[in-house]
Amino acid sequence: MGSYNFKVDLKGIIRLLSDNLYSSDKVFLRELLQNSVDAVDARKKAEPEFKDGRINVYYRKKADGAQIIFEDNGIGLNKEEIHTFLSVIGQSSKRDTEVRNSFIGQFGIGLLSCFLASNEIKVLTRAASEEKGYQWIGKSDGSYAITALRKEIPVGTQVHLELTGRKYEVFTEREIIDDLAEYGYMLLTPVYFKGEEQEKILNQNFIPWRQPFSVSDDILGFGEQLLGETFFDVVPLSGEGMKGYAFISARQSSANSAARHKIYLKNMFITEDGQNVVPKWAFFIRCVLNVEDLTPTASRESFIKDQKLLHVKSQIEKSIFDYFVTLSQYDVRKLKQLTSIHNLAIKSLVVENEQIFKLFFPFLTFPTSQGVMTGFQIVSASQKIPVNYTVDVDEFRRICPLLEGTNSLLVNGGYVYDASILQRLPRYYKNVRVKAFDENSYENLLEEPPGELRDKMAYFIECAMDALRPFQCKVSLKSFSPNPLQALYVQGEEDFLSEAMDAGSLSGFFEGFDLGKEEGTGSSLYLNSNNNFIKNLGQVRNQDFIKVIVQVIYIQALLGGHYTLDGKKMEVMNKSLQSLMEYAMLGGVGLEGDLPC
Amino acid sequence: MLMENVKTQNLASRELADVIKRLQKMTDGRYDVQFYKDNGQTLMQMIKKIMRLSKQEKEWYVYFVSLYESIHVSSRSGEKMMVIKYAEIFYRDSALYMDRELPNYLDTDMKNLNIYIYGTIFRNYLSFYQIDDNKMKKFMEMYETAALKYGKTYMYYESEMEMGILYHDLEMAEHGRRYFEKYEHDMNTCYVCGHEQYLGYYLLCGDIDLAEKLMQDFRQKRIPQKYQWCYKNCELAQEDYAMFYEILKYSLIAGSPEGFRLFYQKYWLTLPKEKRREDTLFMFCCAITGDFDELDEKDLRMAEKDVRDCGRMTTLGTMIDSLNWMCYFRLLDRSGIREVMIELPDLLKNDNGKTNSLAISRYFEQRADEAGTKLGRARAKFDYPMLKNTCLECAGI
Repeated sequence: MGSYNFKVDLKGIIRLLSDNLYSSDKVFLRELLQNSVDAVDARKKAEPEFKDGRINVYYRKKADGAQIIFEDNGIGLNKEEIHTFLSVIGQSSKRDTEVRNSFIGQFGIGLLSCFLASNEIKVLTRAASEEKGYQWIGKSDGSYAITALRKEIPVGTQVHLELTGRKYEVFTEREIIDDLAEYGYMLLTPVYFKGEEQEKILNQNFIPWRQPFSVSDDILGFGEQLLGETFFDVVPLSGEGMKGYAFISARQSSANSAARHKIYLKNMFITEDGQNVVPKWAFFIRCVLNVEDLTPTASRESFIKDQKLLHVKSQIEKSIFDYFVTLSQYDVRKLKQLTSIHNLAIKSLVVENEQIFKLFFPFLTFPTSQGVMTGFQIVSASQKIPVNYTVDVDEFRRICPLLEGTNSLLVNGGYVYDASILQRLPRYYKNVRVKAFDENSYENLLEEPPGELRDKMAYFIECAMDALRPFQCKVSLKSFSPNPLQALYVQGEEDFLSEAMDAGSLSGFFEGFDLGKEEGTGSSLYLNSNNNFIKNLGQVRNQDFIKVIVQVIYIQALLGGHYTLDGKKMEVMNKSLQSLMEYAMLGGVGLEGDLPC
Repeated sequence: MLMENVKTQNLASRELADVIKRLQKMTDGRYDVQFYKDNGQTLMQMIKKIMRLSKQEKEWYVYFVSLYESIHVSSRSGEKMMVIKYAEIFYRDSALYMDRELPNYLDTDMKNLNIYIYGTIFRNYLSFYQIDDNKMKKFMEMYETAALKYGKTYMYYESEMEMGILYHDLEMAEHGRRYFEKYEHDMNTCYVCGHEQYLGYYLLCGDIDLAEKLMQDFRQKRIPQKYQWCYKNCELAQEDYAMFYEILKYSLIAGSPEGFRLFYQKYWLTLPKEKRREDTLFMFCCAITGDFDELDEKDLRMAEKDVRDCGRMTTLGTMIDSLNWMCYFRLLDRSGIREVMIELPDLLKNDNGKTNSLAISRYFEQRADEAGTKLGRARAKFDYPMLKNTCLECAGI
């Protein structure tokens, strides 16, 4: 027996990093950049007089591929530190120092990511406190060697990688420049790229919040450059440990499309995915944000969901709300414009928050029986006339024709958010009478027919009731608009409810309850006594013929109301039409043969 | 959120998916009873459409979830009669289709939803006189079988405690409590709602201090860590007026006028004025205080509304409301307001169009007596006179 140490299969670890931790192999560029930034920062802390931190990235083509060198004039590593920090996986120089929180490379696995690009890593380093430098060569098979360097090198670190084969094809000079420019866009330490095709500084960029003052056009331009689209307006975001902007998209956005943001941690680009940072409802907003204090995940491609993250999110939310409040007070024209571009996005907002509801509702638009109206117009109308809304688009289409000539307003609440918004109205606005339209509301639209006509139609109605009994549909005569509309079908209590009630209580529990025919129970076909065709139907006395006519009217009413016809009703429609045609062919002689239902 | 676990992207019918998504959006984050009372009609329209479409499309899981929601929303929005109707659908369709069409439903949340349905039906059946002792016994047997089958046995015993409190049957309540505590480790719903019956239980035992302590524990979040989430969602857990309402109601039902006096003076009176008229029971408290400041704007209108809505209410609900109003109008008369302008069916007015406060009190007393007698006849253990005397004693009449 004895004590042993765990052995590490380096190839296995690298595979784990590649398959499970990092989203892409190019992260080694960020890791190396991060290491250089951290080294420069460490040197600045250790040597307050050191001001000219610098990172150089070289790209050189070779016979069988290319070589990348990351060079910095940061704090470097001495021999002991090389053994400890480069060769022990999981040990980061940055984790054990008191200033750990200044560095984001704290997990000790960043350098390993270089094996995603190269089979060998060569590090030349000289610590600020040493005269001599060292060379460390690590290989993907897990072996490494350290030698003292004879020739003098400056204080700092160089990391050499050889890109060959497939890696060389993937990591072209162009790709590397673009990736480094993205990662390092906001870094304070200058990053110089020297390649075969180009030599340039990658991060000499205009960052508005670092300027003494910036005009909004410049800020919008900054956003356009970083995010690749034009914006309507910009909201400054500043708070504890964060700085940035929320850009309001100039075009309509969808809640389902993944919004691209730029989120930086201590000036290093982390992610485009803002879902944990930007409120869900803000899908019309793109953020450029630099945070100081959030905790990255091990891959440094996202953030740990903790209190700090929630705090940032709530600060962003507050900034956007305050912006809307300011607009409502000082720039209503802009608020209107914003609402018209992002009508749907803002509707999703107003259902979340009372303050936003009151801000925006007057400007939101809704389809109504009197055309598209704003919230303000609807509220004004409700002070004078009854206002109802449907929760279904088809219901709206059905009811609209009935409202011609009536003094009422119907709002189409069938689109997403609309019913939710309308049903909140009475809560936020006093004396607003806006109600959901239901089966009972039909009663207000249907008037009793003249007594004389009702008497004439009595026999017809009686036969009609028989004809539609198989469909559990009542028939009655009413007066409504518009006159050309022959009949109106109103779906009442669902069939399964009616069946349950008619069948009697199988359970035995509801005997004794007076649950019987409530208003609206059962479907109804209302024949329009204002319609000339309907008025003349009282002359028809042939019962079979009445049955056919009523069934045709019934099917027409269903189709007109955008109801779906099931197989049974389709069959009725076909047979009824056929019967009518036969009747016409026979010159008005009575029907023969089997009749539908 | 209603129908929270339904994944609309898996549905073949876009129409069905669309209406479910709209329902989900409309109810996202809404747990307060007032929301369901205000919007019950709208929500039920959508739920009925979902029931129809899902049955048509043979999306059985969705159908049964929507059936659960129909019972749930009906109950929360005060449409108690609709619960009775939908219960019938549930019995019939679960017998016809559940096992056949959803053979794996015991592995889904349908298992929990089924027992929640029984729990909701119980709460409504308990309060209707049409459910007599025989029916109640039959239902409790079905409920117990379901609870054992679906594994939420604690819910059944929670209900047994409630029944014991209503009947002043300490033995029944104690039996319920013992078995509730045996099975409550299974609880994954709101802790506060799942334990509120203890308020009534302690009052039934005569232990007002323990009832008060429990209420304070609820208010101060002194509940097991794993249930702290309920403070985000539950109105009873979050809102003082909701908690005070429950304990005052339990004080009446459990026959504890001392309890009522304590909670009314020490707690209800601390509510801000605008929260003191949230319900008929609170109006009763206002009357005890002599607060008739909003007589015309609120109190009388609420009395009228209660009478208009009685067709939708349970027997017990009508009874308690009527007892509250009976006391209210007697206290109103005592305060010197002898007549008021009110519209109540079958109640005669004076020549000046007003009605005597005492006449209104008798009107409500009659309604309460009628409901109480009916429930008393249906349930041998229900003691209406005790409830009535408790109310009178609370009012100091």
